[in-house]
Parts: sequence; structure tokens; C-alpha cells
Amino acid sequence: MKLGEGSPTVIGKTVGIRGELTGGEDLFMDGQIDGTITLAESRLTVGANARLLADISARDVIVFGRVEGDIKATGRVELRQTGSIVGDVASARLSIEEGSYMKGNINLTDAAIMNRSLGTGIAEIPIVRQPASVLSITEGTSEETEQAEHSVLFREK
Amino acid sequence: MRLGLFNTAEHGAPISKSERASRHSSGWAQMLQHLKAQPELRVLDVGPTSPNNINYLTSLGHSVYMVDLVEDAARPEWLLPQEDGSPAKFDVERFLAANLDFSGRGFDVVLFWDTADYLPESLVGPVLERLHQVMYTGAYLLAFFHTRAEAPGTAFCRYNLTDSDSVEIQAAATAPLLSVYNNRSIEKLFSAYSSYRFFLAKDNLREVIVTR
Repeated sequence: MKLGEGSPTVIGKTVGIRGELTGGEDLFMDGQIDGTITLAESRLTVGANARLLADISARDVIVFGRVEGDIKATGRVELRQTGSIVGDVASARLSIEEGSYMKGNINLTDAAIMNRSLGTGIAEIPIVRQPASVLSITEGTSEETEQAEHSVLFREK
Repeated sequence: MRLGLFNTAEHGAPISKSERASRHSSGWAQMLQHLKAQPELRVLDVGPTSPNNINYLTSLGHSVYMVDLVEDAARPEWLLPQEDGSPAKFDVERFLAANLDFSGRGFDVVLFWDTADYLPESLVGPVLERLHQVMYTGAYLLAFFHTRAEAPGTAFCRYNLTDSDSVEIQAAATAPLLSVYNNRSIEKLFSAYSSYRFFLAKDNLREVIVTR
């Protein structure tokens, strides 16, 4: 087997990069980068030591470390227990482990909704679409009652 | 496990981080109807990261924005020491810029939970004002308020969504409950909003759905 075949390129934890990182093979990033990472058809693994201040575009992104930036993945994004993402995530599939940290917007494509993949420790919740009326806030009285367990008060400015 | 009074399990033990207690929520039941009836809503879920909530809301076809205001507000970096020796002031503007700048993004639904009770009082008004700015007209906000300050039952919890009229409560952090708001105070907090609807319960959580 040739060198690099079947195993990702590794950027170690002592390496710092400022600028644009592009490639066509899988990458294990354990260092720091301030810029962008583009791996159009490949997987990026963000190691536990990694501190990425970067917008990321890849097929799959697996996060064990810290990412500050937006992530776009045509495949899946996995946020593992030790990982954190501060930024927006747009992907086809997403799995997030308990204990991880996410701050930002999450937007899955339609394909993701139909073909969801859930992460470790996450119970799958069935999609139940029932006919439901639009929530309406009814104007009414301000009379207060406490005898019912979940009585309702209506107030209108 | 069903939830008893004071956010404890029915046998009286406090909820642990690994346990989840189920609590009926009329507010959530109403919001769930809306979430199921409307496609592609933009939802702001305020609280510790919940894979459960992300998966559930995205499974309904909505996009989710997660932000944990309580944990972030507890950091000392927001406190501005005063030269005259008076208590440090909370840097509200910087906090809002760091946590509630959505880059022009608006929301159809805000799940605010009981966040207000755990934020510094000086921050609650500005946070709700900012949310008012980023909510679309007609958007809904679901908030919970504790009716009593006494422990147990005041531990900061994560509310996990379910496909029913209940939410699952899970201990999240050690943040102390800082304020208890009565109905009148809550009305004042949401005075800029167009309408609000209270749901009373026998336990110590008051629920309200507010319309932008």
C-alpha cells in the first residue's frame, strides 16, 4: 500500500495554520487553524486538541475538539461528547452526543429529514405528523383560577 | 418517572443529570400543535445543548438555533467593576452582542423555558427586548416561571421535548435561581409583545405563551 492510502492526512496538535486549507483526501486535524477548510469530497475529523477558527466545507465532519465557524457538509456532521461548535451547521445528516456543546443554527436538508442518522445515546423519536390546528391565542377574560391542574388564563394587552 | 412538586421525582429525590422526569406542560402541548401544523419554522431553543431537542425539531422539518444564556451569563467576564466600590455591573450590551446577535436571522418560535429566573435581573428585560426584535410578527415564545424560590425544585434544568403533552426535565447545571416573578411582573416583562396566555399548574412552574 502506498503511503497515505486508506488513512487520513494528519495535522498534529503543534501545528498552526493561518489561511485556506483545501484538499481532496480525508484529513485529521488536531492543530489550530484560522481561516477556511474545504474538502469537497472528503472527511474532516477535528481532533480533541484542535481549535479551529474556520468555516468548514466537507463531505463529512466529525468534531471531537472545538470549532468556531460555520460547517457545511454534504454528508454528515457528528458532534462528539468532547466537541463544541459555535457557528451554523448545514448538513444532510447530523448526530450530536450528550455532553457536547452547540451554539448556532442547525439546518438539515430534506434528505436528512427522510434519512436521519442519530448519534450515540440519542433516542430516535418517531416523526408523527397529525392534523393540527394553528395555535391561536384567544382574547378573553383575565379571570384567574387555580382549581384545575392546568387551567388557562387569557390576557390581552 | 413523573415529576412531583418542586421539580423532584415523585419519591422526593432531586432530579440528577442522568435522570429525566416527565412533567405535563400545557404550554408545550399548544406549541407542539403549532410546530406540527407549520412547515419550516425557525426555532430558537434557549438552554443547554440538547441533542434530543435538535433531533426532534429538525425531524419536524424546522431549523433550530441553540444558545445557552444561563451558563454564559454566569461567567465573570461580563461583570464590570465599579471605581467607587459599588457592586459590579453586568455588561448587558456586550452580552447581547455575543449571544443574541443572529446576523439578521428571525424566528417563528422561541423556547425560552425558565431562563429568566436564572439570569441577572438587569439582563432579563434587555434579553426579552432583543428577542422581541428578532421574532417575526405573530411568532410565539414559550416561557416557564418558578412560583417559589425555595429549594429543592429550583435547580437549573434542561427541558427535553417529547412528542406528547409532556416535557422531560433533566438537571443541567448548578446555576442558582435568581428571581421569582409574579403574574404582574411577567406581564411587565412582556409588555412589548401583543398578547400572552398563562397556564397554571399545581406544581411550582407557571407557563406562558407570548405572541410577538
